[in-house]
Amino acid sequence: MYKLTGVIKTYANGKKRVDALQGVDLTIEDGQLVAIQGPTGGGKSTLLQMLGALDRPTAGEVLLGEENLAKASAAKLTKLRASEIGIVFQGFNLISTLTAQENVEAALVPLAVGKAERRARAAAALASVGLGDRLGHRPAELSGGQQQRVAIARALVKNPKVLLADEPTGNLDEETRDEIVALLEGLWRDQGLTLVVVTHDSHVAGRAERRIQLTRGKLRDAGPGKNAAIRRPAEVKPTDELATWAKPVEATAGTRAATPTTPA
Amino acid sequence: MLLTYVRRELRGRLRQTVIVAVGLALAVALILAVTAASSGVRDAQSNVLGAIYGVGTDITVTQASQAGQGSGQQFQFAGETPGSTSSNSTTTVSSDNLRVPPGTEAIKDTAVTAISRTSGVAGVTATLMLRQTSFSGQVAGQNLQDLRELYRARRGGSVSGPSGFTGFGGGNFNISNLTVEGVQPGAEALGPLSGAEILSGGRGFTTADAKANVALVSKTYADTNKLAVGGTVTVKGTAMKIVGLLDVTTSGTSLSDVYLPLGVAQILAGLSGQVTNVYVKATSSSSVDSAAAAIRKELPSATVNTQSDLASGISGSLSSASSLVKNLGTWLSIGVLIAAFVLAILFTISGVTRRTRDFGTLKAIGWSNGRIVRQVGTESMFQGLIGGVVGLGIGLLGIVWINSSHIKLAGSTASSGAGGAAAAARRTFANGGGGGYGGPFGGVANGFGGGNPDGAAASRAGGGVGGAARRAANSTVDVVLHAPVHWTVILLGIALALLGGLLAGVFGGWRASRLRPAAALRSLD
Repeated sequence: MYKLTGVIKTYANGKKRVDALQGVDLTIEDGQLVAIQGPTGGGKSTLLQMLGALDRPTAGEVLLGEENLAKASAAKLTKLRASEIGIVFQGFNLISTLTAQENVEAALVPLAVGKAERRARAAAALASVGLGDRLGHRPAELSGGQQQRVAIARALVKNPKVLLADEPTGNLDEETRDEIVALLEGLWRDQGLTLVVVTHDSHVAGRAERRIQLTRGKLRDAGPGKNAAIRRPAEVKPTDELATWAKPVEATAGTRAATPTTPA
Repeated sequence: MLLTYVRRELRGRLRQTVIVAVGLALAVALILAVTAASSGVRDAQSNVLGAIYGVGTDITVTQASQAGQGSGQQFQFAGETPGSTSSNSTTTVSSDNLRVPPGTEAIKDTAVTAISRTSGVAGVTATLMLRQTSFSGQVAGQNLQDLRELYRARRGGSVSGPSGFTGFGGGNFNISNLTVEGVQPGAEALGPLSGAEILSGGRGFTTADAKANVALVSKTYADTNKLAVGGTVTVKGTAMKIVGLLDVTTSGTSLSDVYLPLGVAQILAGLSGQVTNVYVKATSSSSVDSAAAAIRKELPSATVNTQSDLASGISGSLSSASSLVKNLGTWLSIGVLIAAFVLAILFTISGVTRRTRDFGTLKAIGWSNGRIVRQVGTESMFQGLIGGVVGLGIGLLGIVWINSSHIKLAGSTASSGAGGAAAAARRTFANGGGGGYGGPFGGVANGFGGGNPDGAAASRAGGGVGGAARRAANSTVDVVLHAPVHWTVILLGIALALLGGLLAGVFGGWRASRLRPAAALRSLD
């Protein structure tokens, strides 16, 4: 669970001061799918960086579980990023010289996972996002949607508690966007992840349980999204079996069937 | 993963890898070639010095004559001289003059004992270098008188110069020169007979020869004068039995014409208990300077030269090569090395800057600073290693080219400098000997100044017996440049390349570690 209290983030841009976040209070429960919307420069990415332990607030508290990310050491933040937080970027941010499998493996390196297990888990993660036949491909040899799938596999291969996605569909066409949203939605549903998505796209935000509007560094709860009524089936527990991510989940009473992932 | 990523990066960013590696390779190759060439030139200098001063000699001690000292060339002829006869208007004259070469002064052999007791000295041997000038032939009575006048004038300074004798042209006589050197029998491991010269026939001296009238003769002199082992050579009117012939192993090396046991030479020259050259071997290369300083303190008036002093007296293409290697080569190597290091560092930092997104992403997924520094450092070290290996190949090819080119270097020993004076004098008369005066005398009248009443240096003395002698004062030894390759040099080259990579990695890693993940990712938005 995230609990943000009075979070302020100020950047100095030359002599000019930019207040990216102005006293943000926010609680995100475990397993929630939250969409953060807002205009450009409103502080969305800054808030995501606070959540992702990529930056510290100028003032205030950012609690992830019991850990205050505002006060934690750099080593502790690195460890949290390595084990508990998965991040997906708008620009995919794959290492261009590495293959898809090696890119995914890179996320397991800080966890000191052995080579064989690393390779197996990376291959399984890629298979789960429909790229089982693209293990040896370099990013340049993949489409934008495929690259984002690799990035998602990289974020999830370590079984994080939290998945943060910064404009994950920003660079994709509409059809691919829908595929990626469906994939994320399915993973959230199956894995019990806390999923926070920063997006401009109302279509994407509309799929969230909860929508948050961030304008000029100030937060406003924008109400429930399309998935607000959805609850994951109690019998489906988060699992390490990455291959199951790609499998459709059977609809049960009071729930909606998860969208099966579609291979690219 | 580390090595996989390194391999992928080196291949993926091939241009940077090639540029950095080539820069370091050139530096390493240049350093290898220059170091090997430098070593070759040093060996060549050592060969030249060995040929001249003897192998293993670290220090030479001589005593230069002071200005105004020196007794001048003395010939005794006229009726009262045993070798002179007179008949009517001509006089047959014959005289041998055996003395230390001009510009050199004998040292008492007690100095040798003192030197041997000096700290840092491992071995000492001494020689007595002598020059025999023989005057023989017939001169007209008047001319003989002129000759006496000339000699007196040079001694007493009452005649202003040789111009007064320009009319002297009669007679039929020769002046021949013979270089004689007294050496300590049984002590040839050090000094002029060590290393460079070998016996080409007969035997060497033994301690039993200390007082015997025996001689070793240079093969060149023997060939010229049709001498052989078992024959005799006359020194100062005394027949010496030739027991061995000496030849040289190094092209151009000159020997004295005749070597005698030191004691015998001292008696013949009337210089008992005196020597001219002391050859010293130090206990170690590091003790050469301190031993030289101690000897200078012990013998303040003596000229003490170390190998490095002597090396500086070498001229010719060897000297030019030495200067080239020492100055241009060394500075060029250092310059290229620094340039390669700077190039590697700048390219690595530039590469890190270009990979801001990558490193920001890796930090975002949990890579620590240390892991990223290791990554950058390892990449740079591999670039250095590639550069080192390539440079090693280029450098070795360069060395092979140097060695296969058989570059011939000529090392000339100048006669200036007291340390070189005596040795040069040996060559002076060995090579220049026999420059007869048979023709008109006026033109060479100044030659009688060979006795050096002005106390001039040996070069002046060399001129004393004619232009040929002066030319010979610069003895030239040809050596073929061989650039040796030592493991230490190879390891040095690789180590330097790795150092370049390490430095680049340190700077690049430092740059990468300073990237804050949020800032790195934000800078791309």
